[in-house]
Amino acid sequence: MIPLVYVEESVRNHPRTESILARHPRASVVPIERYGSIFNHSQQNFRLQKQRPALILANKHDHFVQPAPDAYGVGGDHNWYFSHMLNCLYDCRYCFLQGMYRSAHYLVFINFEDFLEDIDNKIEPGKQNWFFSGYDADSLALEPVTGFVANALPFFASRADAWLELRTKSTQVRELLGHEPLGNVVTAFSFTPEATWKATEHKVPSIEKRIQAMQQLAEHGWPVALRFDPLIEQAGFNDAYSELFEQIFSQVPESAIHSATIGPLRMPKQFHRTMESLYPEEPLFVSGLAQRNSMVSYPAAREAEMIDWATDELEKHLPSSKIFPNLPA
Amino acid sequence: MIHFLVTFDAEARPLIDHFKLKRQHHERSFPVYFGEQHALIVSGAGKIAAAAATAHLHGLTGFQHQQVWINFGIAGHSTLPVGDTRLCHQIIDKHSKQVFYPQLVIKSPWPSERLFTLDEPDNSYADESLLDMEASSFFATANRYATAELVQVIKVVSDNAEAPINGIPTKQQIIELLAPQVEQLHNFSDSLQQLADQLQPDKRIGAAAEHYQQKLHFSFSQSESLQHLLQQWIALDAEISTDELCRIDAKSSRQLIEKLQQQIAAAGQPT
Ligand code: SF4
Repeated sequence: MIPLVYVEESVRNHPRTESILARHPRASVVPIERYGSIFNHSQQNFRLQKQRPALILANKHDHFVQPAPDAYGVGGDHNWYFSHMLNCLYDCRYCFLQGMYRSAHYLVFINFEDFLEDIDNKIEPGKQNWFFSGYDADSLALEPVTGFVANALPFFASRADAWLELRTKSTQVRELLGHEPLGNVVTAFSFTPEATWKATEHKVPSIEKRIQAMQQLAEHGWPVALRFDPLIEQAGFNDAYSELFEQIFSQVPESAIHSATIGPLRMPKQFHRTMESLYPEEPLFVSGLAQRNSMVSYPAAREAEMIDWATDELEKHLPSSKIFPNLPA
Repeated sequence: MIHFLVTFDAEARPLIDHFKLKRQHHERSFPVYFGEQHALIVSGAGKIAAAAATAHLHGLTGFQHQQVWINFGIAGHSTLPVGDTRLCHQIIDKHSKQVFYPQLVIKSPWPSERLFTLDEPDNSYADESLLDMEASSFFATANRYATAELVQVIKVVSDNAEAPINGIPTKQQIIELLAPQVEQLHNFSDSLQQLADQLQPDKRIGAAAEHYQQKLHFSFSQSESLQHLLQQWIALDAEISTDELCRIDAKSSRQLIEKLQQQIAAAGQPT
């Protein structure tokens, strides 16, 4: 339950605000001038806020759609990302959001139309233009609160050159299941092996439940995708990932899978420092990681070995044209 | 340590009785009371007094950071009934227009409400909010020492438009208003303390660092590295004892740090 909703005065009378507030009748509503007075304010603690986040409803003014980082991409011509929401329902210990923001509150920009208009402006006709959501949040976990996907589907239904990736660890697929499938809207599920899920992906639904959500979508004709990004080091790494791949591909047909990406665990050293100071008891931040230039990651040789091995292993289940190993320079 | 700031002696009384606090008679600037886990200061009325008292108490309890801070006391409100209690989610300094947001991350027994801190008493009750004369400067000061999740303001309504204030309520009236809330305040402050505990460094780090610092000389940055490495070692081996952390033999601080780094690199490999 969301206990408190901060609402920017500029969006207080927006119909979307009204409907979100109506669905949280017991939450205290606090009017605020700008979301910056709460979100990322100094002298707040992400770890403590994460234990009971509030919701912030705000208006975004610019920079709706941005060029995607190099490592993003599944074969399209142009890659963009957008964040109609910052922060996440889940609590993955390796998540870079904890290093990036001081606040753990869910910040939702409710002027969805401005995001969609900017997406429209970025589409180059005749090209495959990808728009990645889920960079600063899980794309589906808070869909029952935000209703973003419900707004976005009709938009993408009429734009064949625009491809939307919804990246998620959730099982919130009801909105999609109630809609005609769209070939250009891909729901990408992220996975790590069982032991890593248990140890680091707090509040994330089980692997099996996520596979069931994938199955449901695939049965309804929606393209689904796999994201093994980041790969996390663990005892018995190869066996654990082999088992995970086996578990997925024994239940989801290869034909339903649009793509699989594989990526390394990397974070700016400042983020790593913040995350380690928030959770000093967390072994993940110490286990095998090393500083390389301004980034913290597994040592270069091990990183390449993990990605090569996982790519080879995935090729047992998927054609290589669907596999995108992302190892940024 | 849980720190309370109250404005009036009468506001302190229910807390002194409940937490069995002892007056610190040598303290002359403000009335101050200590218990084992609690400290209380009586600031007197107004923002300057509240800021000074908050800073003074911080010093008296050892300048510790990430501790719990609570401003508890009476306040006016235009419509809320006398005796209703509220946790403050927004504090607005009416004069400076500064706005503060205590972060409410634990379940509270009381609903939350906005509060205006005024420079002068005001009987107009024009705003649908709590009214006091201390909370904004208490929060601004305490939030320098503790994260906004640990600094809270709790007010019991003492007067409203129908029962306006005519001077300060009597000592007995204040005690009768606040005393019924103290049990819940106790539980609430304990929950805040549990949050604060999550931010305290593991005691084994301090003990092991002290052990090595008695034997070897460390520069400031070496001392920081030592503590960081000890913390990393504990992260990799949660059950490790302080004795085990102290078992490394080294001739210099540099050598000790190298050995710790090797130890952690080896322990951090997946097995
Ligand atoms: S699901 Fe993704 S966004 Fe959410 S906490 Fe985990 S890594 Fe971060």
